Amino acid sequence: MLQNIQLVIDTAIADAYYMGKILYPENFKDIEPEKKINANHIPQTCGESENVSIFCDRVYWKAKTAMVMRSIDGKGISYSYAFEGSIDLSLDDVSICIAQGEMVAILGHNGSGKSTLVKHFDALLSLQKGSLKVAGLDANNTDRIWELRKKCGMVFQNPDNQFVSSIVDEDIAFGLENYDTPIEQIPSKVSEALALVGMSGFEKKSPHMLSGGQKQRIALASVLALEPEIIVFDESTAMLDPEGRKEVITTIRRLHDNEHKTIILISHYMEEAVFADRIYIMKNGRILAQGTPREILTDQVLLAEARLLPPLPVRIYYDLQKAGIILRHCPLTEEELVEELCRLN
Amino acid sequence: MPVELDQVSYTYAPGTVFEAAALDRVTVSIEDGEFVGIMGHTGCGKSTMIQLIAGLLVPSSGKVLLDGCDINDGGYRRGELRKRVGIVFQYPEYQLFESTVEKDVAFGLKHLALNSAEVRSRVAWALETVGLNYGEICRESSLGLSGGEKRKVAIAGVLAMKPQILILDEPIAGLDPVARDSFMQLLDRLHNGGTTIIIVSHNADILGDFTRRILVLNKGSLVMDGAVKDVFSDVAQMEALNLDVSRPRKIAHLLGQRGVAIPQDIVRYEELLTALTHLKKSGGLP
Repeated sequence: MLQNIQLVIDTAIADAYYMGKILYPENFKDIEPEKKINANHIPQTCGESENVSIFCDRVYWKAKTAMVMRSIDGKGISYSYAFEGSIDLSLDDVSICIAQGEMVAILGHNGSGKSTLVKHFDALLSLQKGSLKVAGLDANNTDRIWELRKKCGMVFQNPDNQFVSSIVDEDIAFGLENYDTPIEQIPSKVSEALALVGMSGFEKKSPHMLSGGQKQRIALASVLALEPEIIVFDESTAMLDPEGRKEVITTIRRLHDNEHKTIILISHYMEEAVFADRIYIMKNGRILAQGTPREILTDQVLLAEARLLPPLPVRIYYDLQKAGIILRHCPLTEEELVEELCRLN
Repeated sequence: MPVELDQVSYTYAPGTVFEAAALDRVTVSIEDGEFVGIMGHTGCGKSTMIQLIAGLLVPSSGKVLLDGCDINDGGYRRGELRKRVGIVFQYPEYQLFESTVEKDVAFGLKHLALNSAEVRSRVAWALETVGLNYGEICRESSLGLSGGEKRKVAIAGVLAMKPQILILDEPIAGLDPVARDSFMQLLDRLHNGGTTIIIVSHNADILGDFTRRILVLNKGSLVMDGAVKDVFSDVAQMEALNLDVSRPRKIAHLLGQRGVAIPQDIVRYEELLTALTHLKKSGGLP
């Protein structure tokens, strides 16, 4: 069993590395061949399927980022709101790499630099230090800034702040008009965008008469109409009621699963991060850790250091452990927890 | 100083095509020193209700009473009301406007006939209460702070008035989990000091942990009013209203559905943990 897994891993990495090197030599300049990973790196407790799955997740991601194009490729990004050269850094030497089609959650305490970081992706903040490529475009190149912004859309916390028209379809058309979309193509693009967020039929409504979740989906449709490669959600569910949050999260997951958009999600709700492919944790302007949801969200020490709380099922898992009750796997969702508790023996 | 709503209705834009009944004959009484949560689907009338209590809206019909006095009566002294009832809106950080944090927090106090030493000590108290260091922050520009800090400064501006009734509309949205908890601890301290707290939130976990009583509004009517565990006991009803119950309650509910004999009045995390440990020891878990 163990040897089989090792074989699969070795093959996957070797394939990924050599394919990637041929196809995207530019991306591979600073990637070492992953020959360092061998059987010794499989966790000692490999008998537990959970650890093997963590390990495979990680290897899978490495293989994936090595093989595919990168939506975000940032190195050594530092930023200060005060003035250049200030010691008060909001971002301090941040490197981040997100593969095309990945769904990545960025978690961190208030003021940890999450929003400052993602504002660079859309060139709302210009680079002070470091390098950044967004959808293959250099974020420093101001000549192509509008091209970059078309590739990377953002949805913020309060949709009311961004409506420009009192009619839904005009609001969605606003971005298209600014990008000189031929007038005859606009209606079809607007309908397609509304269909993607499940809001067909709302063309002539007023955004202000809609519920919070609906407003947020209209804001998302305005972004989608421009056919971006990347969509950043900066706490887009924070103000919504439970139903609105569900609507928006379902829509985000559909865009990831079916439309293969690159999704970057900033949230304070750990339950939303569970569904990401990968999580970055930020603290005081730095990247503290990155990994799969299972790696990150079950690491109590790491989360405490980042001033974050683990998801409730994880807390229960560890607290039960202290009381001498051992669940076989650490659950991430409420449903998994109930399964584990019912299976307890 | 109890708050009473007596058959209060409120209609927006009456007589126009946008006419909408936001609140429909709501009668409720909140006693001194209570810690009350208000829940409800978007558009249920929560914000309307708290604006009526704060005297920012005048009811279409019915009465809002403070200490037995109708606050919308011609002879009622509104200045007194503003001093006693503090309200923190959604996104309070948007209301900052002064050039420094100190000036912003002191803005309301300037109208209270206090001398400058008193103003300064109240500002310092309010900033320290929300967890900011007065000496470090008082001369900063309020607009240059992070989102979380701005919110704290805005809330300090309300606290500085030392209101007896503090109303908050979604104050924890957008705060990280630790900030959320420390903010609620702050409300808990104010509550223990005798302040009446009325908080609107979708976060059932937080309401379950801190409030004693929950009001549920639906389409402008008060549909539930009771102790937290009673309101959360009917999970199906809450789901029908598109509202969450606290997650410990939800887990107990899911376990109950699977035939596990776990108490169904669990609200808080510690209660769930104790029940699970107890169940395992008594052989109640499979």
